Amino acid sequence: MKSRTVAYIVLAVTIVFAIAPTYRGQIELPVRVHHLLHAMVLVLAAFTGLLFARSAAPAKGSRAFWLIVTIVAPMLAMFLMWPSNYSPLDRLPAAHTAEHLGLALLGFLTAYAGQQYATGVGVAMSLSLWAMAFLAAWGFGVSPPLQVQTAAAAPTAAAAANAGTAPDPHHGQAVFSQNCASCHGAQGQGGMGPRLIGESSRKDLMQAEAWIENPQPPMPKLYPGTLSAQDVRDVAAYVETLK
Amino acid sequence: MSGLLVLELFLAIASAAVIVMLAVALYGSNRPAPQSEVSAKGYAIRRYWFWTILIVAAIGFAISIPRFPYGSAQTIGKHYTIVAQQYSFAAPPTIPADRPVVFDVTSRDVNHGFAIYDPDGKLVAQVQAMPDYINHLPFTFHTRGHYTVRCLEYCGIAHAAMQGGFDVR
Amino acid sequence: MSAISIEADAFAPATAADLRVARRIMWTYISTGLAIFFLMMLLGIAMRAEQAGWVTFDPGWFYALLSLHGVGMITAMAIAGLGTLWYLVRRETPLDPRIAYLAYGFFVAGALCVIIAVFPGKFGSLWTMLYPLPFVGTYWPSWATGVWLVGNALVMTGFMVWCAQILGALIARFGGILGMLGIGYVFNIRGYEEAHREPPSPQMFAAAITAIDGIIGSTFGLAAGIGMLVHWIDPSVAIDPLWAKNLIYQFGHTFANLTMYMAVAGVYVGLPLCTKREYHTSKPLAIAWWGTLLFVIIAYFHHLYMDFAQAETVQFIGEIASYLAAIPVVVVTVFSGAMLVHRSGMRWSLGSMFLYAGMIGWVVGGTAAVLDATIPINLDLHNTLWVPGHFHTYLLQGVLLFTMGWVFVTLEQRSATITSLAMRWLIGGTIFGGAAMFLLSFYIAGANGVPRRYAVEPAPGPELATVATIGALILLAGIIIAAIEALRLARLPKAQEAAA
Ligand code: HEC
Ligand code: HEM
Ligand SMILES: [Cu+2]
Repeated sequence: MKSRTVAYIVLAVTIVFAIAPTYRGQIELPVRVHHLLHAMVLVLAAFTGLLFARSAAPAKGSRAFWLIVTIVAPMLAMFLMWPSNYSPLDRLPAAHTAEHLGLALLGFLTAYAGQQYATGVGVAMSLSLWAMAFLAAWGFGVSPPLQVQTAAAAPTAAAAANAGTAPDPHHGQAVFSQNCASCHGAQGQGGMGPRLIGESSRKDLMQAEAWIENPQPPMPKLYPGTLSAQDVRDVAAYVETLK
Repeated sequence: MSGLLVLELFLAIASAAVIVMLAVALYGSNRPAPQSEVSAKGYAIRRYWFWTILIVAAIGFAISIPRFPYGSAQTIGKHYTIVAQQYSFAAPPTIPADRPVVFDVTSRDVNHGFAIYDPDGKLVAQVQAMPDYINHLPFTFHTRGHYTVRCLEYCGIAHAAMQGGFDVR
Repeated sequence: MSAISIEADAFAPATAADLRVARRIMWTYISTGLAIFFLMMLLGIAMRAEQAGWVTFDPGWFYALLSLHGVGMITAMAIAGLGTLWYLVRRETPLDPRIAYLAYGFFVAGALCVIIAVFPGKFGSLWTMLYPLPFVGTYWPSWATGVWLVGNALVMTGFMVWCAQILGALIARFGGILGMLGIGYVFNIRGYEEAHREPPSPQMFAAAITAIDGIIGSTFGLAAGIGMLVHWIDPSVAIDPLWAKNLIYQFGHTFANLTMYMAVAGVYVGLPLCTKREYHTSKPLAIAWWGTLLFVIIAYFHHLYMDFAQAETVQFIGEIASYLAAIPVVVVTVFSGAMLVHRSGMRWSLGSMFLYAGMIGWVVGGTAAVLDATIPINLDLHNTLWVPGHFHTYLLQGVLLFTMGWVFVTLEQRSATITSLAMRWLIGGTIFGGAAMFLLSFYIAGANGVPRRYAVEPAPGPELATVATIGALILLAGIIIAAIEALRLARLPKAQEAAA
């Protein structure tokens, strides 16, 4: 069989493989599996590109153009590997098909353009592209779910000590020394952040609460991640007492 | 191994290296020899040098393995949860002395470090505090007193001020 | 194969005009690299002075400067090394100069983005920008994160362009990857001798390993970088923090490490010029470079020793690879370099002095690194000032000295002039003395547990920072004098039998 014929057959397989999974119906694929399917598309497509490059006429003149293509194509492909659960393209079958064909095209270009630039470069860049696809499957859009919850549920000392609804400046002081003193100083005398002594003359309790809930950078927003609503009330009440 | 011991070891090796390198360059420099003569001698020495380095590396590796802080140790001892966040630690106020304990260290926001300094200010152990992961650090305290905890992974503007602590009793 | 035949004329020797173009490219790269180095050194001194309490500025700025210093320095050293290597490869095989300028353009564009992210963006996530740090609890605007990420991607793109060009040229020149890595030579030395075929020269190994590991490292870096850019565009896209950490350190370690293996080409070519001896490829040299090829890309696991969640096997691999990475250096490269100098009657010009001192710095910095790469020791030294101690030794007293040594050897050969003895003592004394003060204070502070990357350090940090700042100022003076001397040499008329 002529190598051109083989190349066309592999091309056909690539296209079918790229399109078929986008019409899978109601089956939900985990992000990682989806990444691996993308990787397979890229492997096939780059392989096709290598086959076509073998039988293509060698490029003439400045080959800088091919060099840019072979380097930029894997980066664009990495963008298209946008994890499936988040990708707007994955909601519409047609867009999803287009995304897979785009991946196939970029895989093909990586290999073909690289070989047109210089023998061996297409192979190296294809390997780089495949590595990116497999790296994506390892952690792009995937994070270990179990431990996230453990971390979120682990009580902080501040939260554990927290009870009641009336503002409690005493507890506020504890919250302050744990969360605010690093910037505002242990007694509110100031440091990286402004001096808070006499704060009551600038902001009243409500305003201080509002600020702490929604501060301007560089002051970090600690509510609701770190501080509960009660913590905010308490620490605001404490800040108001600083004289 | 304590940092200061490592420093001494390092200074010893480094000064030996500097002296040897200077000696090689300067010794006999006023009596030039043909390259072939120097190479013949050099290649003979290099064989021994290669094996020396390899054996030293192998011994160093063998000594270090039993001192790795990972693995089964995470199941022995009482567990304490440490939650780091910008820019503080939630840590238990007291830890018992002379008993194996395990710190289960995690983070609420970004990467932090959890480094324990003993009452003399010496760094005795550390582990990373990562969001989404829990790192188990086994340790046994023998000295009582107040230990300081510092963040050893850059975490933002107040990184240098991020401190905590506990008493070992 | 058809594709090889188009490179058939590849073996046409470079003409004088080609070499002139190549030399211009080399000097463009080197002068850009050294200029960036100089600016970044000023930032370094400012930071150390801040830690010493001589000046105070907002910690936000401290971290912004630290971000710029870290990325800027490594990029500067890489640019200088890549320029040198490009010229050395061009002496042996044709290369399109336009592609060298293309890569250069990417570097400059990337550097501009990084600078904009810091001035005025005040981006302060450091070069490691460990996910989720550049997005959570930040004190800089979100656009700065985006610009920084794009800037880093541009630098990696430029690096990829360089690597792909050199890879393609070396494959064509040496008939495939086996020839290029000297594998054919090592397994068939007799055949090479009978056919009067030369194996690739030592500096071609430096180029080949830089190109291959550069592509591998940039792959990791771009995967992480583009992943984070996607997160920047759509914050709901989750990223595994441990994944990001692995990828970033793989790239960072490879890139920083490679600057040394680029600069070492200057030793391969420069030292023989100084000693009037020859440096040939041998079997140990080729095998040593294969080791380097592998260890450079896997030793990075030592950056994750304190991530106990990482599989234990890779922690073992990290320690073994870090140990083994030292062997090619001390058994082959530095050993051969010392052998070249031994009883050669070489004159200690600035060039040969820097090249030789660079090898010493490499060994000393490497020793500190291997100690820190031992896991039980790392438990006490990880992220203390020991770490900047080790890599500043390696970079400042290794890579930088190789680059400066190469520059001076070239200038000295060109003008057939050697700097006066008094001047050599002055430059050597200030640079080595200043550097010793600067570096030792890092080591001592680190051994005492003073953390790295602290805008305000606990005791004994500030006292040692004072010593370090004085040392760095002495070093600065030495560098300025050396720069003036280099400019003086460069303006001397060209001697008759110019070699390099
Ligand atoms: C990372 C450092 C940092 C931390 C931590 C921090 N702040 Fe701030 N804070 C600042 C900065 C900087 C400002 C000034 C911001 C501005 O004016 O735009 C500020 C401003 C304020 C103000 C308003 C001052 C005014 O001008 O009226 C209050 C109130 C305040 N912080 C309270 C707190 C409290 C309570 C906490 C702890 C829950 C806290 N801050 C934690 C840095 C910090
Ligand atoms: C006189 C010259 C130099 C001075 C004064 C200097 C100073 C500093 C200082 C003070 C730090 C911060 C240390 C800390 O607290 O963590 C630092 C970090 C660093 N420096 Fe230098 N440096 C110099 C030269 C170099 C060179 C030549 C290179 C590389 C080629 C380099 C690369 C780095 C890197 C990569 C970091 C780490 C950044 C980070 O932690 O994110 N420096 N330097
Ligand atoms: Cu921190």
